[in-house]
Amino acid sequence: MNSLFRTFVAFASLALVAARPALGAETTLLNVSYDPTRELYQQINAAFAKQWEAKTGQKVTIKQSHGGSGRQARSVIDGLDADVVTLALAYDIDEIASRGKLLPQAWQKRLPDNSAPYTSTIVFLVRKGNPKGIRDWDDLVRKDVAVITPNPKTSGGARWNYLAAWAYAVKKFAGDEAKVKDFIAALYRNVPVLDTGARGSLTTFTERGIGDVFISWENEAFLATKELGPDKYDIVLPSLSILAEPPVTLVDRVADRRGTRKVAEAYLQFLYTPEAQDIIGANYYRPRDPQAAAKYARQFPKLNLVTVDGEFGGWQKAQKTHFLDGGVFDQVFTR
Amino acid sequence: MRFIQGLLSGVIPAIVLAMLAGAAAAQSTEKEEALLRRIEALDQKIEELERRLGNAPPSPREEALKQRVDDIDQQVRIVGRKQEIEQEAAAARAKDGPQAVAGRDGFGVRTADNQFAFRLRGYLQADARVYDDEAQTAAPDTFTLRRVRPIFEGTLFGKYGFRFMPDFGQGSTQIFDAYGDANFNPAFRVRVGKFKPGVGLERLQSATALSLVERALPTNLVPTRDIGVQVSGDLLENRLTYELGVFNGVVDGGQATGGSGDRDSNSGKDAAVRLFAHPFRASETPWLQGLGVGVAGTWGEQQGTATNAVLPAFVTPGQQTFFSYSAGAFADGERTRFAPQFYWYWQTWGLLGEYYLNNQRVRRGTSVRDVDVTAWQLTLNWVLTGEDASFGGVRPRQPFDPAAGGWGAFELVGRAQQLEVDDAAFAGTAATRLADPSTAARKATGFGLGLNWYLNRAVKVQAAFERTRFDGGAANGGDRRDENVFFTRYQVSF
Repeated sequence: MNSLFRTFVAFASLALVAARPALGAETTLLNVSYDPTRELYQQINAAFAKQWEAKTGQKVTIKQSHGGSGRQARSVIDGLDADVVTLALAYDIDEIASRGKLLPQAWQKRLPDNSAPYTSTIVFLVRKGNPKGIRDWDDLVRKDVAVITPNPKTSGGARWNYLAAWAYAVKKFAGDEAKVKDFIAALYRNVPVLDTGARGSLTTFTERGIGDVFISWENEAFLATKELGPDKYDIVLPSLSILAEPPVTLVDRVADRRGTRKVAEAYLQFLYTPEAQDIIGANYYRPRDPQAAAKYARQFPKLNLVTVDGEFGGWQKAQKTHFLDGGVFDQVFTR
Repeated sequence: MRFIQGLLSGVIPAIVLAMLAGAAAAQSTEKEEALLRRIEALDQKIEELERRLGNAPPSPREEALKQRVDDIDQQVRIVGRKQEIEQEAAAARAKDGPQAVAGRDGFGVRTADNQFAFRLRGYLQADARVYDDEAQTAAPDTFTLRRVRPIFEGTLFGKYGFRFMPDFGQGSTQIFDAYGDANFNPAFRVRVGKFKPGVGLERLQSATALSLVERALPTNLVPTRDIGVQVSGDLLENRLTYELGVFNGVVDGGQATGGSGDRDSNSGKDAAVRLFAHPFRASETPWLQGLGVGVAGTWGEQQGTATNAVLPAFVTPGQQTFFSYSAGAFADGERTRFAPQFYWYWQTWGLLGEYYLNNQRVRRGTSVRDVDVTAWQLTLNWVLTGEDASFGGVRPRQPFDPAAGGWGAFELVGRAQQLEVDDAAFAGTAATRLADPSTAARKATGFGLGLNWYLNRAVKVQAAFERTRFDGGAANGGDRRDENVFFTRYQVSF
């Protein structure tokens, strides 16, 4: 019996070894990303696939999934087989680590710059000529102004928007939380449509012509003016905004199960290469690489930026305070 | 005087008239000119007024109306956009939500991403068997529910499957399939439970796809179902399939003869291996693409006792036992099976062939012998209505619907087969021989003819005739009477 089992195990192992090479010729990755990065990753993926094939001879196809960052994280936790995630904020990836147990808790340390190969910020996109005279966050609470921003419950960009507004209000009202909440409540009373993600909100503002101001990712604002016509929109820089650091990471358990760890890690490391950083800058994200940052410095205005860590004590605290069920957003949104 | 009068009455009035006319004409021209000047002035005034109107700032009322129109326009857009978002959300929910399915492949529910699914399938076979009156058989002509098998299958997390198939046919309840699969990738799958070991080619064919009503004689020599664990996979771009398993080691043959045990009666286990190749699957020669060749084998130790023999019995196509070991004989050691096999399908033609060589050490009293049993079959299929023949049956192009001119598909089948037991089984005295030649036939040779009618992909009607001749198996060294059986089958499967 023992010899029989040994024989069986030997044959099974041989079969497994024989099977492995059959899997190596071509591979696919799934990059689950947040809403506005479609154009960016289309170009990144083409560049990486070309480089990977030249280096290893293996064809790699990278499929993309886009949506509100929070919703995307929940999809991955519920079983969407993402080899990598490139989401809007670290908290969403923390959730994948803690609730989904799909990657280690210390994921952020694995790649440079807290695993954020690029940054962005929040600006205002207004109609051409700025007919409502919007200059700063104060104008967004005027009764005659309609504001477009996505739902912070589903969209990572929306949470950056909210925190930027909150940071401004804290500064304006010298930390008086009641007045800050009133300010935020007034702002969200002016929001007629809450899309699930940033790209949906861009559609609402640009294609559906709704609202006077769109609180936008910086790259989305540039994209709108470039793609949809510089004669249709203007970008207004608020006096204070927030430094957004969209992070990227490997989803270890999925990559190990699918045997894609090596190529997935290489894909993420590629984001930090000069070639990828140039693509990042060309797509209106702020590159980390000094050379690329210098090349694209003129297109990125200087802004007064706060950080999540500095202003809110980190994403865990910010999420718990503002965005979980019953948090501050739920309180002010129902007023 | 008259001249002067003429002058006064003619010329002077004419002159006066002309002068008056001229004055009138002059006056008319002046009026026209005045009118024209007035018209021009009015034109200028109109233009001036139009300019003033165009440059005039809107009145407060106009402003209010314009704002109202803008507000209404925005509200309409907002309502429309909210509807769009709600529709997108509903579509996303529908996409993620469960979907009911019903069709040729059964009924069930599944998630939109197919990660989770439950399917209810099954098949029912209602047979009629009519035996030749001269046949030496105790079996009456009969209708029978040959197989009544609901099938419960499912998929969990995309890669894990399960199947549960009991059988309620022929008045008994038995579990035929009960296993779980882990499909890590096409080249490596693991199956654990009770299922068909990868040995016999015709045994591996679904009961719904059989060419004739009953399986051929060689299938007596392979297990029906066994409990164990098996790894399998498809390699070389699906040109090679491998199956490696360890099983309890049931006896040869069908359910009725013990070939499907639910518990082992001894500690001996069987290892099973099968390799099956489609070497020309990607060939540019179409008639070679459907060729499949393979070999399978098992080896193990089986230990029976006088009261639990762990030995097979062999049945005819009419399901009558024509060979069994004598009482007191039991399996006593190594058992091996060796099974080269092939099939070939091309357009309307199909050919399936198997050869089996089984060797079993058998003891009865002090007599111990290695008994060889060999068997072979060749089955030829011809689909008369032009559909492709295949291992999985025939898919009619047009279902049976006379009103629409559809008659289903018809298939003609012919088979030759043989099973032979080693003389070693019959050697010795009545006390020592392993099998009694007066009741156990040494050889069975048969042929069968059948006509299959596929009404659609779910309903099949079969009619078949099988004749089996025997060497031995009767008293005084005689031959058991031929068995002639006429079968019909009505089958529903989904």
